[in-house]
Order: sequence, then C-alpha cells, then structure tokens
Amino acid sequence: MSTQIPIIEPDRKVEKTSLIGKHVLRLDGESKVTGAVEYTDDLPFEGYYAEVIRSNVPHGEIVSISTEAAESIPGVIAVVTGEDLENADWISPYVGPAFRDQPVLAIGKVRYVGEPVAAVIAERPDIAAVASTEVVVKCKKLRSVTDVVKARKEDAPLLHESGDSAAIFEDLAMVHHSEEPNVAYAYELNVGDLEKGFEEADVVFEKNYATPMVQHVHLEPFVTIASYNAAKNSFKIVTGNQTPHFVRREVARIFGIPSSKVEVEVPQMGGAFGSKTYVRIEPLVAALSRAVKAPVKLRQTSSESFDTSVRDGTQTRVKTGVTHDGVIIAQEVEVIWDSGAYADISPRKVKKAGYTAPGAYDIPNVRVISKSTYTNKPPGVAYRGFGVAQTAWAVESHIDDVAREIGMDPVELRIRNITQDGGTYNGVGIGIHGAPQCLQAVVDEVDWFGTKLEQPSKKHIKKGRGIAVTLKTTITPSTSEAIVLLDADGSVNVITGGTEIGQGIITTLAQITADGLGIGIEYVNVNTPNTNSAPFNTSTTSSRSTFHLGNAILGAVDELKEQLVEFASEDLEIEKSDIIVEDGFVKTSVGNYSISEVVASHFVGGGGTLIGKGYFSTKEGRENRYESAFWMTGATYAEVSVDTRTGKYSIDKWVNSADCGKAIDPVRCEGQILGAAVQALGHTMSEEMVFESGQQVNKSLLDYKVPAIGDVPKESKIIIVESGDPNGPHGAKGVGESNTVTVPPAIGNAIRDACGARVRELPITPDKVLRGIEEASE
Amino acid sequence: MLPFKLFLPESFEEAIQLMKEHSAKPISGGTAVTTLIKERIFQPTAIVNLRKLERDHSYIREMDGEIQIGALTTLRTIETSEIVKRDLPVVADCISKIASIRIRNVATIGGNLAHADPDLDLPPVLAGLDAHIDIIGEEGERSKNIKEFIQGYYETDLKEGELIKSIRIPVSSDRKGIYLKHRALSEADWPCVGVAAFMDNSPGSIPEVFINSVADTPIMRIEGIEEIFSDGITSELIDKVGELASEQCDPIGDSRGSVWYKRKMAGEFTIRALREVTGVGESLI
Ligand SMILES: Cc1cc2nc3c(=O)[nH]c(=O)nc-3n(C[C@H](O)[C@H](O)[C@H](O)COP(=O)(O)OP(=O)(O)OC[C@H]3O[C@@H](n4cnc5c(N)ncnc54)[C@H](O)[C@@H]3O)c2cc1C
Repeated sequence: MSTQIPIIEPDRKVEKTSLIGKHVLRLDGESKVTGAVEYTDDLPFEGYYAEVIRSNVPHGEIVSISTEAAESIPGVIAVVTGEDLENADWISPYVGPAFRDQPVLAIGKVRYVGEPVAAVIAERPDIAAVASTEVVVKCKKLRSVTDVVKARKEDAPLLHESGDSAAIFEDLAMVHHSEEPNVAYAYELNVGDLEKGFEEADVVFEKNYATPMVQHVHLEPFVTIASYNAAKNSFKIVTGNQTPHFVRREVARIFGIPSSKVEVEVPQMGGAFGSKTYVRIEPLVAALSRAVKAPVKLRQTSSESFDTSVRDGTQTRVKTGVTHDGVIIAQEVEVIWDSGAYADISPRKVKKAGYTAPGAYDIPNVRVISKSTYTNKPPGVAYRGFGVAQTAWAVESHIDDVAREIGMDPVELRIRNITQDGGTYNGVGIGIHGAPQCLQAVVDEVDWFGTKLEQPSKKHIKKGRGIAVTLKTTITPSTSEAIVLLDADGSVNVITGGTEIGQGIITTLAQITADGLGIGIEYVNVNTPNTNSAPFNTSTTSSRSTFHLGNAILGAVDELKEQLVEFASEDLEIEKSDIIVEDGFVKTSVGNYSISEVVASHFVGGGGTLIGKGYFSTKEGRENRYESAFWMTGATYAEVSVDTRTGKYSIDKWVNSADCGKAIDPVRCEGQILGAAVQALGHTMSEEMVFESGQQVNKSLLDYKVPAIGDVPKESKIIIVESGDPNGPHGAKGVGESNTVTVPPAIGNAIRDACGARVRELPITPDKVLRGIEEASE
Repeated sequence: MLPFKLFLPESFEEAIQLMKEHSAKPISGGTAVTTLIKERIFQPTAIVNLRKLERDHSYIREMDGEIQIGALTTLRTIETSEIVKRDLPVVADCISKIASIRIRNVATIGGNLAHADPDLDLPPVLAGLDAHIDIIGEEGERSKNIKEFIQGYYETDLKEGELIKSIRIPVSSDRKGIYLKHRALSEADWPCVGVAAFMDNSPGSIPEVFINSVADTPIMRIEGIEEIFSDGITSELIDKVGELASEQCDPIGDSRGSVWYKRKMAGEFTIRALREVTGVGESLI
C-alpha cells in the first residue's frame, strides 16, 4: 500500500453537497455588473481598423468602384473590393451554412441595401471612417423584389441563378433551390389524408397571419479581430460568435488551409440571440487581414447590425378542419418566409419550424408547406425561437379564431387537442416534452375555467385574457464534447466550445461539474472557447448547451472518477469494487480520501493533471437520430386592458411557464423564461423593420423600438415545469426560447378577447387595434 | 463616427467666438446631436461643447413672478427641483415622460429647445405657460416667446452665432394645465401625439390647446376654440374641439401611427386634456 496517502479517519464527516436545483450566483456576475468583463472590443489591440462600404441600392450590377480617392488619404492602408477577392488566388470568397450563396464582399451584383461592397483598412478608425465616404460605388439598378408574393412570380427578377448544398451538415446535405422563382428551399410535410380530413370536419376555417422582419438587437454589435500570420499561413480570429467551430471550419475552407491553422477565440458576448451564428463578419475580416498581412479589427455599429442579420418575416395561411366538439382533424399550414438576399440557415429553419408549424397539437391529417424566399432585403438568420415564433404567431392566433368559430373556449380546444407526453405528433411517436403540463400550469395558476375577469368601471377600458402554448425542436443532429482537467490541488478546469452569450452557461456548467465531482463551485473554472484547445461543439444555439454540454461534462466527470478509482485501487491495493467516488471523496473500505489527496499522491514532481473527456452526440442510443434531441415547451397567459378609444393596451399581468426538464438553477431558468418573454414583448408591441423602396427607414434604435422596463408587466409569474427529460443531464433540457414563441399570440388573443379586435399582423400597434375595434363594430 | 474638432469654452462669449471662427455647431448634453453624427446624418467639422458652462449656467431661480432656468440645466435637475415641482408641476410631469432617466441626466433644457424636433414633449407645455427664451449673441442679448422661437421643422429663431442662455417661465397660481403624452410603441418612446391644454382660473376663460408630433413644429395651436366655447363649455363642444384638432393637424404617417391614426389621436387627446382642465365631462385618463 502506498504510504503517500494519508488515511483519514473512517468516520470523517462527509457532507452531501448537491448543487443541482440550487441557485448559484453567476460566476461572471460581478465582472458584468462592475463593467470589468472584457468583450471582444475591450481587448487590447494593435493593428489596422476596417470600415465597410455598403450598397445603397436593393438590387444592382456593380459597374465600378473607385477607390483612388480613399487610397490617397494618409493612413489608409488599402481598399478591398469583392472583385479583389474574386481575383485573389488565396480565397474562395463565398460562404454559407446551407448554400454557398453569400459573397464575402459583393461580387458583380448587390442584392440588398446595406450589403458590404468594399472595405477600407486604415491605421485608425477615424481615418477608415473618413476614407469610407470617399469610395464611390456605381451600380446599374436592376429590378428588385421585397415582397415574397411578387418574388415568386414567373417574371420576378431572380436573385440567384443556382444553389447547391454546401454539404456541411448532414440534415442539409440534400437541400437545393426550388423550381419556383426565388424559392431558396421548399419543405413539405404530409401526414394522413388532408382532403379527407377537411371533408369529415364540421367546420373548416382559413385565415392569413403575418410577421415582419425584425432584428435581434444584441447590445454588443458585431466585432471581429483577425490576425493573419504570413509565416505560418494561419489565422487567429477573436470574435463574438455562437459557433466558433463553424467559423474555424468555414474560414479554413475559404482559404484552403487545414482548420488547425485557424484559431478562433470567443470572449464573453453581449447578447446574440441567434444573430451571431455560422459566419457573419469573420470571413471578411480574415480576408482583409490576409490582404494586408496584418491584424485587422472591424467593429460595426448597432445600425449595421440591421444590415448584417435579421429574423425572417413570414406570411402564413392556416386552414383548419374541426368537429363541433372541438377535435381538430385536419390542418394545412403554408408559411412563406421572407429570408432576404442570402439563405444562411433558412433551409433548416424552414424544415424545423415547418415541422412544428401545426403547433403543440396532435392532428391526424396535416399538410405543411414551408418556403424560404429570396428577396432584396438583409439576410434572415437564426433568431431565438428559430422560426417557431413566426409560425406559432399564426397557429396560436388561429386556434383562438377556430375556437370562436365553433363557440368553444379556446383553452378547452387546446386541451382537447394537445399532444400528450409519449403520444403522437405529426403521425409519429413523440417522447416526453411537457407541453400539456406547461399549459395546465398556467391554466391552474389563473384558474382559467373558474374565474371571469372583472371589467373596469371606466367604460372605454376593456379587459381580456389569452393563452398560447408551444412545442419546439432543438437542433438535431448535433455534437458536444468536453474536457475536464482535475489538478492536484483539487481544482478543475472545464474546456468546451460553449460560448457565454449572457445566458449563464459558464455558471451552469460549473455547477454540473462541481456537483458531479462533489467539490465546491469555487474550485471550478469554465473557460470561454478557443478552438485550439476546446473540443468540438456544434453551436451555442437552440437552447442546447445545458443539455448537450452538460451531458458531455457528466461523461468527462465519470472518466475522472474511473481514474480516481483506478489510482486509489493501485495505491491502496484494494479492489476497485470497494471504491466509490462520491461527494468529493474517494470512499474506500479503508477510509475516505479527498479527491485532491488521491490525485496529489498519485503523481510526483509537484503536481499532475487528470484528464476527463466526455461527449454527447444525438447519434447515440436513439432510434431516430433526426428526432429532436429534446422538445422545448411552454405557455403564456396574458391579461390586458385595452383603451377602446385609442387602441392602446397594457399588459396587466402575465404568467409564463416553460418546461426545463429539471431546473439546474431555478433562478437562471426564470431569467431565461422572463428574458424570452420580454424580448417577445418587443415583437408583439413595436418591433418591425420598415422598408421603403428596399431601404429600411428605421435603422436606428431611436425609431426601432425595443421594450423598455416600463413596458414589462408589473404582475408577473414564472412557472418552472420539470417533466424530467430522460436524456438530459439530471433530467434538464433547454428553456431559452419557449416564451419568445408564446407571448405574442397570448397577447393577441387577450386583445381579441377584450375588445373584439383581431390583429393578424405583428406588431400589434394601437393603430391596428383601433382599426380592429372599428371593423369589429361595423 | 467621422472626426471633427472639439472645443470646450468656459463662457458664452468664448463659445460664440469659437462658433464663428470655426463655423462650429454647439452641443450641450449631446444626446440629440451625437446620434445624428453617429448615423452620419450630420457631419460637422467642428463642435463647441458647452459642458463647462454648466458651472455658471445650470440653475433654477425664482425671480419676480417667473422661474428662470439656465440653458445648461439638465432635464433631470428640472424635473426633480422642489421649486419646479411646487410652482410648475406640469413642467416636472412633462419632463418625467421624456426618454429615460439616463437621457434626462445629460440632456439640457437649452439643447432640448434648440433642437426643435416636431416630436418634442416640452414645447407645447412651455407654450401653454408663455415661456420666454433668452438668447445671447455677439450683438448682445434678446428674448423671444417660445411660440415664435420654434419656427418650423428643426428650425428656430436662433441666428448664426447665437445661443440659448436661459428660459423664463411665468408662475401663476391662476393658470392650470395638463400634458398628455400618448406613446404608441414603448413606454420609453417619443410621443405618437402629445397634447397640452391650459386655462386660467378666471370665470369665462377659454382654454388653449397645443399639440406636438402632428405638424412641422412641436407647437401646433388649435385655432377656433374661442368661437366654439363662446357660450360656455360642454362635453359636446369639447368633442367639437377634438374634431377641430383632427382637422387642423397635418401629421406624417410612420411606425408610431398612420396619418389616420395620428389625426384621430390628436382629437382624442385634445378631448381628454380639455375634460381634465375644464372639469367638464367624465375623465378619460
Ligand atoms: C433615446 C432618446 C429618446 C428621446 N426621447 C424623447 C422623448 O420621448 N421626448 C422628447 O421630447 N425628447 C426625446 N429625446 C430628445 C431629447 O429630449 C433631446 O435629445 C435633448 O433634450 C437634447 O438636449 P441636449 O442637451 O442633449 O442637446 P444637444 O444634443 O447637445 O443639442 C441639441 C441641439 O441644440 C443645439 N444646442 C445645444 N445647446 C444649445 C444652446 N445652449 N443654445 C443653442 N443651441 C444649443 C445643438 O446645436 C443641437 O442643434 C430623446 C433623445 C434620445 C437620444
């Protein structure tokens, strides 16, 4: 027996230290509150600064770009155009996760107002700014389309000639452009016999619903630093991006180098909400750095975020066949997505959101048609809710419309048709998802069936209430890996590709790690990713991180424990079966040892590191690897007062429920639920990118209004549902998006209930409500 | 942001000199100007920042029958001033509805009025109170009623090289008024329509109504109220004034509301404001 390990009295007290389900203060909280945290823009930088010159026509052929005047300004290093990149032998200048349809800088053609056409590189940001105004872009205007109906007409101007899959993701390997003009991708789902379903229905009801393009309004705009190392032909990229491994792969590909030559580091991010996914400005900044062989930084403004990535607008037609007693037997949903000039991830969005377009209901006969349409507008990308926010606006408003048609309580209709845990959805089996519990939770909380709202004494104020529920997939297939390093002093470093966007993943992963090893959270450091050391992670999107990275970490922790058992068995010369690792201790038949003691005594030379690796891939252990890894569900109850003389409404109370599977930290889950709801308040009340002749006219936060603190309902209740996901770490799953989906229709339904105005196009402005009231009274 | 020269004078005289020498634009809080510069809507070559004048020109003074406010006084200082809350509660209330506390902490009364944005909240209230703007220039000082000071779309009576030095607001316990701000998009937003109604306590007095956001200036006075109320004030007649407001305004449709809607709201809030100041008809607020 090794004499190095001090034997601890067998009766030494071992405290149970479960951290799961407890609130842990955010590990990065203080640095954020005090402003000490460093975002990409705060990092020390030496190099050149870039400024982008953008198209001011929605569709045009580039005739000429004169750069001489800008280049002659002292301090200007270079002006780079799309043509320069096209002619360079070191870059293949098109990118995109689904199709490679997007040029790093416009080549030959511009396809939307705001599209990057050229970039100035200068010694100082102010010089770059001045020089950018001296670059003159001449375009021959082409006919443009900004409307998804016109875009699909035979005579519509085509934005792209052809489109083949970029073949990066297996679920997108087969995507291609549709035959229909400007349709980037068309998805169709057929379940049962739709026509027969409509025939059997007592009532068939059909309506159109719409959502406008909106922007994520992440407070931290796009900032990227790229440093090309000519000697090594390699890049270091520091950027705010939710998919560092994708950035590495895509940058490596366009420069024709192995991904080991691209190091991508992602510091803390000031919000993203899906905007900073796949590649945004990284290929451009890398190309600029490659062009001048020096570090280049591009820091865009908030207004330029509107030029870079947006949420697709939608026009949705819903047709539902229902029996008199409220059984929905057939539903057809046609969603046309206004995806802007480049497809980005639209094909996946169109598929995934198309799949759940019928809402949380088990309907035997379904047809979904979901088409992503190119228009001369900024590119639609991922956005919290990944398309379901748009489809659910339609379907969850529609369910209320249908209920009214057949004279049934809208919640009753929902309860009758909601898909059950372990029931069927779109004709196939579905696992545990929690949708019925989420709905029930809000129904019970407000005693929906037992109470009636009291109307205010002021006659022009009318109160109403509404509910909406959702079912959403998460990105599948996907993979996450984790490395957990255990040092001889018992401290732990967690290395993953997960990014901290403000959602609190650093703390959640620390919590899972600390709990797994039974050590104090103060011993755990969770790193922000650097692709040189961090193992692969598909993305920090789709609320997947707690689930996937959490599982990967549990795997890594198990590996560490196995090694601890092995060491103890070797060093103490006892059977492995007599050893367990629990509560921070290696417990043996001869005594309990702290894990640091076991590590320290196993190695010599002043230390040693135990390496645990774990991974989670949705490929493993599941019958259908394409079925969503988990389901996100939630519900919202909203109670409004409408001023019937102005159309203005206030949300007096709301209740938001969401299924977390298991709340690793209930307070952070509440933060996600409320944050999702408040963000959706903007989509409900005010947010809309307004275009005139292809030009956005409210491209600034002065006129593009996001909710302010005064808009948040004063009476707010959050309900955490814990249905226990069979595959989640401790039963946990993602919770960041459900209420982004449910808030707008719940409020729309409440307004309809209050005053008769049914607004079917977001946002619900007082103007539209007042018109609705007048129409309803006609 | 494009580069420009920045000057920090210590007095109005120095500021005026610098403005002249460098064809420079003044800023105070900078809340209105910096966004325009950032968006490159306004590309100045030189800016004269009046910040250092705050030392001498941030004040709220009671003078005979008036309250005088220095041009560099922040909106937040005015809104929280005990004097203003006591003697000009409608001013304090109106300012508390502008933008956010963070903006009001830096925005100044001088900058606010010189900005002359047709959507500004405060000018209709100051018009109702008959406030005067004290102007300083190379030639000396002069004074102008707010109603003549703001002349059009972002246009004031200020000549080249002139600055606002202070504003004076008469205090009268006989005059009462109300400002109603209707926001369409967010509680922290600019007005969709804002209506100020004022009236003297004396018998037979006729209310005055000023509206922002529906014309090329923030002070649209409804004309013809005297005739309507010549035989007294009734709820029906107040509705008539509402119609007048809808007719007389000339709004631009935008995301805060269509022309149809803004006209309707100009009428509606005129009715609401008049019901409050006259005490006639049921309150709608
Ligand atoms: C996010 C946001 C929201 C807002 N919301 C509202 C709102 O809801 N309601 C509302 O009424 N307003 C609103 N505003 C406008 C705000 O009231 C003005 O920006 C502010 O009052 C201007 O004051 P300032 O001192 O910052 O002016 P500055 O930006 O410094 O200057 C404004 C103008 O005045 C000139 N100027 C400045 N000082 C003087 C002086 N002493 N003499 C002569 N000219 C001078 C400048 O040259 C410039 O033309 C909002 C502004 C922002 C940024």
